[in-house]
Amino acid sequence: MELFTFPFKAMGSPCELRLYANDKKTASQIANDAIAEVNRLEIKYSRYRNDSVTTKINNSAGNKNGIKIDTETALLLNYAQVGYEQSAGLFDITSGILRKAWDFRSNKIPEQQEIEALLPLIGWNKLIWNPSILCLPLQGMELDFGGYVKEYAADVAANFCILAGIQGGLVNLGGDICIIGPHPDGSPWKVGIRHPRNPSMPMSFVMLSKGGLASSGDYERFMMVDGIRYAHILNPHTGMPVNTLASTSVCAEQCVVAGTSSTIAMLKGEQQGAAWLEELGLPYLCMNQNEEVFGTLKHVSSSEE
Amino acid sequence: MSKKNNGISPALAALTTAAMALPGISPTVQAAVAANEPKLSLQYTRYDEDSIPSDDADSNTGDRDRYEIDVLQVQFLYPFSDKWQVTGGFVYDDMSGSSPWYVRPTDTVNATGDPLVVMSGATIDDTRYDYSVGAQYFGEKYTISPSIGYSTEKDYTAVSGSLEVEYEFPNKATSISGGIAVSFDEIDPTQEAGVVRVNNEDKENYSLFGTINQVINKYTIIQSTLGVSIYDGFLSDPYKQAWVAGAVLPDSRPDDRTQYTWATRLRRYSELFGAALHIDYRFYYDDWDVRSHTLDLGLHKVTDSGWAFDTSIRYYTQTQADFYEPFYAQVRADGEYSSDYRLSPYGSISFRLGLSETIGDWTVRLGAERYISDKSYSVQSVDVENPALLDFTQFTFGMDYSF
Repeated sequence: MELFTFPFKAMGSPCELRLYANDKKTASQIANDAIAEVNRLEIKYSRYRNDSVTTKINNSAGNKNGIKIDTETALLLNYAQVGYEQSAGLFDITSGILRKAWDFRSNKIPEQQEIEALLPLIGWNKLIWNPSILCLPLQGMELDFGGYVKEYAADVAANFCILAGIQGGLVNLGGDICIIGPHPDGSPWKVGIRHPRNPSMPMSFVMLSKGGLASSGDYERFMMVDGIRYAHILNPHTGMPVNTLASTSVCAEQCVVAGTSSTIAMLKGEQQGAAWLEELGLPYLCMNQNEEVFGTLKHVSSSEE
Repeated sequence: MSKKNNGISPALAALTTAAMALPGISPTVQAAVAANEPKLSLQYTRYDEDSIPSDDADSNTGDRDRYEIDVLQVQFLYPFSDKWQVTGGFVYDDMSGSSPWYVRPTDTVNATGDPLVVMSGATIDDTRYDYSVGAQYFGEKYTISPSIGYSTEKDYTAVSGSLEVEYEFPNKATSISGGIAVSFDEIDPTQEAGVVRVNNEDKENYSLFGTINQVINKYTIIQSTLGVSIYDGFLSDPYKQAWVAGAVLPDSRPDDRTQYTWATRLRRYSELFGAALHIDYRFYYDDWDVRSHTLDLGLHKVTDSGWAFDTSIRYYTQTQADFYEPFYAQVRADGEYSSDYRLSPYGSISFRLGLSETIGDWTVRLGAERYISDKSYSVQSVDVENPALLDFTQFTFGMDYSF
């Protein structure tokens, strides 16, 4: 058994597959097919492509007849619905439209009325859908699958490798990890968690031999205005950035569940977010604005290395 | 870990279920779709029953060698689109050997002592041809599978049909299915000098079943089926007789039978073994008072080099039909007699081993099974064992080709 590493770029992030296999040919074949699955999902749900499902859905907004959707999209919508229900409306894939007001490269806080003008277009419960038809009833409404498709793609790629016979390896899509299986000797993978104030440095390491790990943080897209950090994690009810936790990492059996849970925790804020993760029973690690680290996920901080 | 209690949180359970339903995320969830390519399968089976031990046989009996059967099966599958596929099958059986005819007591005067098997005099040679055609339609939520079959041999003809509908819930973790099957059989036994046999008889069978399939999590699937099957017509074995107070009378069973089954199958993938564990249990009951329990434990493993390896052990135990006796010291008021070992109380154990390897477009399969039955394997205590209880060995060799 040999370890083969396949770096690639997808979903706007540096990604990598690490696979244990008997020979390079087998490993590359499986890696290529798994990467093709990630690319397929990126193309299908990209906001930036005219031919993507997301664009077609968003272009149909206001059409009362709705648009036909395929099974995979329907199941992603089903997942979004569950996320919405379980987070009391905080996880809402209709909230992406707020980026029309919030331009994090402008270093300018939008006017209140700009935000308020968008709020009526937000609200998962406004959608009308069934497993084959989706209707965005108001013109201007938008869906954004970006909040969980990357994590879903990590699960899909990992499962693809498992079905292809890989027993040890991991999928890393821009920091969202899904473990294929431990090292051949059974030992876990050592995975770094990004430091929100120094994203090129790991703040700590965790040991994983199965499941997924996903992180959300205020460091991915943000701007500093008058010394205040405004990050891309926006509350769909107020349209305002959430400003309590700097980052949250969560472990779960599926990377997509880990990702949704960490996003919801960020949206809930420090106290309620941590309480919610405790209630879920998922191991987590948070850093707050004072750079205090807390949580239940066993880790080794990089300074103890 | 931070779990406050032993139960999983409802929010996590909801998210996990929704995640598990996503396509491609779980090794166990496979949506029903038509196959990608046409496939042809050939399989040869050699089935060999052990001879009746001389201690258990009447010393004047004919051949103690029981059936040997060669079975050749051809099956094809042709997908027309991702919605439709057709399947077809042909089976050719060639059987020869003797079969248990009746059972008599050692002491025929007093109708006591150990039972002894009397085998059919002449060696039976027969061939069977079985043809079947089926189709599957994979709708968005429903899979519909009709099929028809025709089977013929020298003394037997059967026509059958079935229809099965499966519905998959939008969560993709649950599916239910139901089906109906009918069969119309005609028997025209080979006549033999000196033996009274029926001439032309028929029977009908109607079966219904309902199944629920549930994905519990990434590693576990459970399936449960309830079935009922009704037989009506000539249900006796025209080639068997019963020893009744010194006379040898034709095997004579009630002309209807209702069977009920409940079967549950669990599939669990174990990370520890890197293999899938199969646990199947089946309970059977019929109105002839036969009750049986079957427990099947199996392991399915795919090795690093691509070999698929299956091994299983199956335990079976049944109670006897209410009118069964190994032999009858006295006549029965209802005139029902059968000393068929298949209606006797017994238990059995079988061991199975299978190997398969896919090389390019070819899959090669090898299998072996050893089956032994005995009164001591029964969960209840059995006073008199039917001396014709069956032991057999079976070998299979198969090849599949995907175009």
